[in-house]
Amino acid sequence: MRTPKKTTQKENIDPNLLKKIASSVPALITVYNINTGKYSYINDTITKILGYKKEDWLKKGVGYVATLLHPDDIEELTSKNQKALEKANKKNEYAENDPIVAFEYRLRHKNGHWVWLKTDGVVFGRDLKGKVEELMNISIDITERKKREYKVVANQKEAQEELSNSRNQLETILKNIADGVTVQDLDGKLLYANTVAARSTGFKSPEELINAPIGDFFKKFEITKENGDPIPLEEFPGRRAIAGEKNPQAVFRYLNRNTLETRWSIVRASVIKRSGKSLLIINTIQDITDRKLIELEKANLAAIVESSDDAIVSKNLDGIITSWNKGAERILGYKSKEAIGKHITLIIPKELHSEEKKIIGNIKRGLRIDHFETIRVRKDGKKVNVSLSISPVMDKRGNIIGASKIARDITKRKQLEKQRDDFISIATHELKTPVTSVKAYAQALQSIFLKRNDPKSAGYLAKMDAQLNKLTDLIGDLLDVNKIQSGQLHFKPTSFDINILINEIAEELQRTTQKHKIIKKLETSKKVFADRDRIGQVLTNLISNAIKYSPNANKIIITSTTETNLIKVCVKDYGIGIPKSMLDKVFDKFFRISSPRNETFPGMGLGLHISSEFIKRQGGKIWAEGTEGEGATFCFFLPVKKIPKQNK
Amino acid sequence: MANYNNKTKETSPESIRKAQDKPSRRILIADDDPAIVDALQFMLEEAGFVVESTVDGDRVLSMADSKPDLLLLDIWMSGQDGRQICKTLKSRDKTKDIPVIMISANKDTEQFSKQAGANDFISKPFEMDELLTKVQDHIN
Repeated sequence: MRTPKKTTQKENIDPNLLKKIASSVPALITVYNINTGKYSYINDTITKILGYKKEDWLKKGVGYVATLLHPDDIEELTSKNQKALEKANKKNEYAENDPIVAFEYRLRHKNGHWVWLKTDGVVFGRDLKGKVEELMNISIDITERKKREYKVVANQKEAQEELSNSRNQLETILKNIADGVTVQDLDGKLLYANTVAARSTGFKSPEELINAPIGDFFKKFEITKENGDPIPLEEFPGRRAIAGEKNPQAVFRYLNRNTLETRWSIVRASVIKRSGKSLLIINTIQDITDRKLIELEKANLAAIVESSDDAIVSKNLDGIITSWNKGAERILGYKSKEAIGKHITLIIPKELHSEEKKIIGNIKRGLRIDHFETIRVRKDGKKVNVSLSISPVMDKRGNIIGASKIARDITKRKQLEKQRDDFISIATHELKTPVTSVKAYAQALQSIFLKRNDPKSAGYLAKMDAQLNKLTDLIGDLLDVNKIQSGQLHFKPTSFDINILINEIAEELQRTTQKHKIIKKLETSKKVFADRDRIGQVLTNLISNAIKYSPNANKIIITSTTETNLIKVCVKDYGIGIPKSMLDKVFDKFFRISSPRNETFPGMGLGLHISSEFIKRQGGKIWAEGTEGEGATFCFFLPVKKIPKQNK
Repeated sequence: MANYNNKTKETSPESIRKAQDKPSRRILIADDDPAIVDALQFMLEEAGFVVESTVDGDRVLSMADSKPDLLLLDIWMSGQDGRQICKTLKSRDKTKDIPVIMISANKDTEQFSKQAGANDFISKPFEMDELLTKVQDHIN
């Protein structure tokens, strides 16, 4: 070891002591010549810190030691060293022992691991020109400190990342969940709201909601309980949560005062506490408007069903009763708990059990049944007249799973109908009695006047008699319509020659008109199977109409033709005709045609209705042809043979 | 709707004359409507018959005991069912040969009158001709 030449301070100290001290300090002390790169001094601490023997370094020099540097540290170290030297060279007066540079860097331990060193460089000797020649490096091992620092940094970084991640995650969750979330402080001030909370309360963004004065909110909405009652402040879930209630919740109704839109939400609250002190209130707001509307709708429907006067009953495809309303209890006498689960034949009279099979058959094919009048039997055994409307019930996928049945009690209506029918029946009979006597007087008088050779008076009496016949016909029509309506129309069918009947009627009616010539074009006679009197009535009606509605024509043509198993009879006139749109309607009860010139034709609008009922109910068909202004043709088919009764 | 049975034609003097050719025949009319009884009586007397009448169903049987040549009997008499009267008359030897023509405002009751043993049926209102023809047929 060379002793620094210019040191003056050390002259007073024993060099051996100095050596001893240098060897025992925990710092690594090296002195080297920057020009030769050779170490002039290395203390023993080197082995302790870096595992090398000092002889290794003394022999190999600074160049070798540079290869032990951590690659990341070389650049910084070199540049710092360079600058420090330049600075030190300029300043000759620089105090010898002041550190000119300090750096922290890593060196490889002999065993291969890295050792962090903090090194102070001190100018140790200068040449004659004052340039730095020797440097003393004092290095201490800071590996432990560095490790600690790294750990802290790493932890902090991790924590921050974690924090920001969770925050992001939380915000993502809050943004995406279907429920509204708000956070309030204990004074009720909003600190946070997610988008759903904002939207569901009618604000454009959470910021807008948070910044809005609390009063605005209540100006906008009337907030009540589910049933519309006001909510006392202490019943708000937030308050209840602060008061210590676990998971408080309440259903709120929000009525928007402007739009009058009503929404419902379940509001739940919880508090966040720290050290036992409540800090924040977290509210979740679950919009249940859709559910509520369905509930209301259901309740509404249920109320309608329950309050209906009609019996409303549902059953599955096996005929088992699945619901039974109050109306059904009243009309049929069974309580709902007595009826539900039983088979529908519970209320069907034995003789009508086959009806149910047909009904279910129709329902399975998806057909409805409308206003089907039938009889059901009450719990007390009494029969009740009902009008049934039955519709298929489908599940969500459109499969038919049962039927709903509305039964209206028409017993009263039936009674009224019967009363009306009876009344008309009695009234028409009562009308007939005076007509009978008047007619008899008129005819007897007529014979008296004839005997007295007073044909003029007899003629008037004949006219009077003809008018009485018209009155009789009108009464007869009323009676027939009444019979049709009340189902008391009975036929006495026989097999007879239709052409003979046509001739009889035509001859008779020919006598009532001078203007019209009734022309008959009849095919070879063929028999039909029907009620002769009733068919006579139909022919009379059709020919009389033909005369009545063709006041300016002079002929009427009656044809009869044979088709397979059917006879077709047509009565053609050249009168005012019938508009196309009316061709089907002429057979409706009370239908009356009006002519283009508003001529009116007498009649009650019953004749064609009665005729069509007579024909239809005897297995025939009747229809009208022709165009307005060009006359009309009325035709009917009648069966040649008896048609076997079809089971309805 | 015209019923083709109700023909609009003048009562022919022929049928009246025929009735008058015969010696006077006695006809009993039983109907609970006085106007019908009166009109029928007028008509039949005009045609030359001797007419007795009643509006009381209970009297028909006793009056029939005097053996009229024909009975015109309403199917529904006050207090009595015309069909029952007819049945009783036809079951008694004394009266079973009296021809009975039942009269009804209801055409559908024609079969009931036959079941009750009536000789004929005529519905209200009727043509004088038709009535006189039926009366003549059964009296002869």
